[in-house]
Amino acid sequence: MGSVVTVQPYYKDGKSSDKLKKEIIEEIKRVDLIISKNNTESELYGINQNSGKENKISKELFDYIWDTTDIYSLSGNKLSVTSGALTELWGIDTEEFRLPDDSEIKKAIPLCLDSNIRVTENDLKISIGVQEGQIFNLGSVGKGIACDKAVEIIASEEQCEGAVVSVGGSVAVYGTHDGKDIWTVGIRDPYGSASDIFAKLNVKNCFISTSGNYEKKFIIDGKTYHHILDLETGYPVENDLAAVTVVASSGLESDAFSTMCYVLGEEESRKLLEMYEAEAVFIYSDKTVSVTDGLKESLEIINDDYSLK
Amino acid sequence: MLSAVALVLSFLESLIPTAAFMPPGAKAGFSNIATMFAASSMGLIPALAITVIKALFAGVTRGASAFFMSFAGGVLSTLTMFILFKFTKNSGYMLIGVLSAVMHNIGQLVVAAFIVGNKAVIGYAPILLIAGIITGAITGSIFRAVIPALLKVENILIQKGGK
Amino acid sequence: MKRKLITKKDFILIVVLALVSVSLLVFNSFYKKDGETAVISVDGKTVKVLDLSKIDKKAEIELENGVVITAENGTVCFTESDCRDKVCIGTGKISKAGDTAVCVPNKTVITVIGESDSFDTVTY
Repeated sequence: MGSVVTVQPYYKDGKSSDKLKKEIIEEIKRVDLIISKNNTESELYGINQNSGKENKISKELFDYIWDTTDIYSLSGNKLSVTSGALTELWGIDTEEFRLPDDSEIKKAIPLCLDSNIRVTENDLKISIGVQEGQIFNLGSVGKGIACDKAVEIIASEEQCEGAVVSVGGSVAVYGTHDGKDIWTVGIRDPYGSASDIFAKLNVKNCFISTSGNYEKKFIIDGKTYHHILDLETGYPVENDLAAVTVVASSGLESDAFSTMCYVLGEEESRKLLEMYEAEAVFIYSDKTVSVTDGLKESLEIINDDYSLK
Repeated sequence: MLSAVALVLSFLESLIPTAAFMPPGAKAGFSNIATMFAASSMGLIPALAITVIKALFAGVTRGASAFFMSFAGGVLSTLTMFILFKFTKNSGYMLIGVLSAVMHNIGQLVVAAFIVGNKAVIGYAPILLIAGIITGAITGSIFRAVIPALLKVENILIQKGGK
Repeated sequence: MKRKLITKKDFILIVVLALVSVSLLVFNSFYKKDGETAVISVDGKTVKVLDLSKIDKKAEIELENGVVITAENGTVCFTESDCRDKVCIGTGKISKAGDTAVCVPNKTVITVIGESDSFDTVTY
């Protein structure tokens, strides 16, 4: 997956052990072997190699695809689990960016439509198929899924009272630490260095993800392109958002929603967030910040350049 | 010829163990004596040429980032020297040494911040400023002391018909 | 034209410059509190956040670029790097809020941040 995983567990007796961390790393490696688009050993890679035909699929991978599609279908055709044709065209997954031709983009757009996914169920065996050239890509939810799995393991460990997990910036806070159930999660300053945060969120038992235009970007002919694509236009989203942070009850949801909210913008996102009882912080490029009602009390802006709308 | 002097000075300097008061990465900057000579009596282009050669030397021995840092620091420092030598009649050698050393360190620091993509690097500024003042004062004084010798060398070279 | 080694005006200018830098430095080291968290970034991206106050035994972290960072007793430092000048290792242990150690060739920065802006983790 290429993301940095940090786990900080808290134990009831104050002791610490590396066992839990090792288990979590093993579990994340296992999940990566299912959902990774670029790992040639993974289940998803095998299915993508065989696009256009019916493929047997594990229940686990099917669920990840299905849960993500559930959320992305709310976006119309702007997001999809089959975004691979466009993300590969732009070189986003490999970070070897390129600026594709208009004609290439036009050809790739229909290959991203999730309405092409065919599912057949038969004796409890599921098969999945897409158009030839259509490529599944769970990259936008992979870190969140890893957080989900990490919390499952932590919850099963009786001696562990709580933990904070970060997988490449997607975060899970679970249980208590030193008796407190509130955790402080910094939100990175989109215009600062990697170590700068502009606000803190005081939250408990939740999953938090952020999507921003600063994560991966490249400049061609003086124009800056970032990595979040609108699959309807085939180009990176252009709006006045710098980043969106989403708090949800699962990592898959917080990951999927942070990307979706960034693409759709605040107005449309607010309705969809309500359906999933998720909350969000919208950070605009003029350094104004807008926040959903459920987070009003939890958000603490610590950089004076930023102000609430 | 002068660039060779600068390189030899750079090399000798790398052999001197870093003095205790010096922050990590700071050097005495003796090779700046050669640059100062070029900036004061030969003009901007030869001085910048020395800077580029020094940067290439740094690049070859210590990698690409060293090249960029040395280049940025060197150019900024050389321009400072040149402007001071050319347009101020009464600023002393020590001041020129100090200001050019300080500008050298500022240039390096800004480039370092760009390379690592983290402006926290600027936190090094105060200690590098102090290092610049001390080393600049020393190189300025040494320069004052060796000008007669350097001028003599130059005259000999000119008489022999080559530089 | 006879240029002097140093004039009175020069002297004053240098002293002022020195005073400003020294006071910046003194201010930094006296008013800096012990930091609680070390943020490690490579190429401008956060790769690791260490809670220094929670590290009780020596912890060695090897980054993907081969750099090894060691945290111990509330301090953190570079211990191994393949760069040639080893300035990063020479920086030694840092522990105060605002302290930084840098390995420019490996684009790696350690920044220590203090209690006032402490947090359990960062989302990005």
